[in-house]
Amino acid sequence: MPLLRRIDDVVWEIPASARADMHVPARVFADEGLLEAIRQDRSLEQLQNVACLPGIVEASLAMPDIHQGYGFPVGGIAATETPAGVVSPGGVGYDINCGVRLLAAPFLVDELGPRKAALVHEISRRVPTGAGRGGPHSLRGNELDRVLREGPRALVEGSGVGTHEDVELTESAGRLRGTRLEEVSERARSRGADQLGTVGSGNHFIELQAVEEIHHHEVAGALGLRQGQITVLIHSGSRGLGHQVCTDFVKRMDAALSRHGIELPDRQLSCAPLESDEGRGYLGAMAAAANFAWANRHAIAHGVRASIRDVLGAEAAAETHQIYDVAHNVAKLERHGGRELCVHRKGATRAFAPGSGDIPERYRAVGQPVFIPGSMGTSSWVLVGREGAMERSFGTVCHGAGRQLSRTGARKRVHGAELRAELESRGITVRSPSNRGLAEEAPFAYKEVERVVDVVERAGLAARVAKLRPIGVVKG
Amino acid sequence: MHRWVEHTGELELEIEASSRRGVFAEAFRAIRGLIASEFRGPAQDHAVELSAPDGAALLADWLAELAYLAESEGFVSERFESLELGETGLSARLEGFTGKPPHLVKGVTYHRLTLEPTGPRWRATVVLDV
Repeated sequence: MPLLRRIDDVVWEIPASARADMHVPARVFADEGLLEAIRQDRSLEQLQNVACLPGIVEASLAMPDIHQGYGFPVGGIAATETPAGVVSPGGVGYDINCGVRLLAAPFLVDELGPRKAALVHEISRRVPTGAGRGGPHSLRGNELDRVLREGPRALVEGSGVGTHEDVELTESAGRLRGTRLEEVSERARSRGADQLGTVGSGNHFIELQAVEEIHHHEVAGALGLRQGQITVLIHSGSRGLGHQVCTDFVKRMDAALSRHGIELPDRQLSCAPLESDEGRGYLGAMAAAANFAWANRHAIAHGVRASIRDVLGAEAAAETHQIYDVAHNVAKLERHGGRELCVHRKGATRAFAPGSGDIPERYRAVGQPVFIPGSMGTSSWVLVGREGAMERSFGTVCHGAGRQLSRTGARKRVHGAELRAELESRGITVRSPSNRGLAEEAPFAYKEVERVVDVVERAGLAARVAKLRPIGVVKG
Repeated sequence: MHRWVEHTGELELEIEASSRRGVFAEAFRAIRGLIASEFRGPAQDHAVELSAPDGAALLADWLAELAYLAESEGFVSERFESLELGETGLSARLEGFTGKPPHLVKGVTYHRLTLEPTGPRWRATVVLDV
């Protein structure tokens, strides 16, 4: 068990001296209770492995929702310095730009009333979940190229899907520059072409929620949130296209490690210098996959609005606005402390403080919105980034509650049908193609989101704005 | 034999067999269990040729290929024929049917990836991102 020393109220550190191959310390944001859960799996060992990446600066960081992943822990952050540092596809993960988008409807939970079940059903009918193919927006040739280059903007301008305001209210305006389409393999293209507008499986979902508590009225007003309002949280990513980009580049960089003189404690951390052919190629292909993911959530939101139109009318659909969309699996070139860094966020969310030029103008005074989903059946949180994040975590916070129980372990404790009945009895309408998948995402498989959010706030990384209570869920 | 080991976020597969070839056969059976489909459509078959820098990476590629065909072609592999297995390459003919397999596997990772002889047996470990 690695030696952890306490730095302050909610920060713990394994010194760089703990292992000969660590270049920097490994640092965890957590309270004592969460730390106990974190110690139960290999996540701290994985965090130490990340501290061995060439060119890593400051520390390998973990958010309070950290859990064991592959290569990087989920909830891990690593910043490498250009041009000597590396980029690691495993530091982003297979689901490139997996993320969440929050929509706010113009009606309250009481006004929705008995039409809730119909709305959840309509969303489940319109937006494909589970299996990989058969999305509502099949793309071919130039259409796919344009989405890979421009993200959701291509859907607004090419097909009238969504609005320019949606694009503006998306992290990086839904578009990473520097795409290299020639680095996106034919296999990746074929996996993604039919999957735009689909949720996928695993922990992906569309959740219907009601604003239960407002913690910061001024900021909530700026975001357009009010007590009792209906919101819709969409969690998905780049589907098979992103999975294949990661597969291709882990293999390619693994083969080039010795040529670059890089030795690693875990093969899944395979990486390449940012300025190498492999490094530039990955960043270009990853940018294309990230743009695809933003377009995917944009297309899913279009399906949600169409469902609202069918159940509650055209006016309700037209007045359903996007609050924001954030990525939680991505690597981005950013400036921190006067340096240009490649910030890897693997299950971690960008959370820039007020005043950042990277935040849409309408939110610049209040900070970047961040969404922290709880588990299915527990509340989610809206927060905004604070200065502490810029000082302590490269402008980053957590991405969810964080798993604490394996999928098998969850299935041993509850049957999907049983869980479905329990959620329904608590007023949460459930649509899921798989009882097995439902059981794997049972609330007890996750840590308490309240504790995770509490640590983030105590650390000064972000501030609570509103708590969202689930009333319906469409599971992937 | 194979077994799925507890892993907080993903699926970890442990395989033991009497030969290296046996590990690849057992890996096939493990993935076949993940991509089972109640719906049974027309028969399909696929020729597969793979190469990798070493045996462990070749095993990862073998699993990735089966998962890819399930996702992209709805192909449910039931058996393989004429498996030619070298140190860093393999070829095989896969037989099965068009189904509606679940698409659980995002990627076959290199995390703690091993394929090695242990005494008279062969063992392998592979972690899948799901």
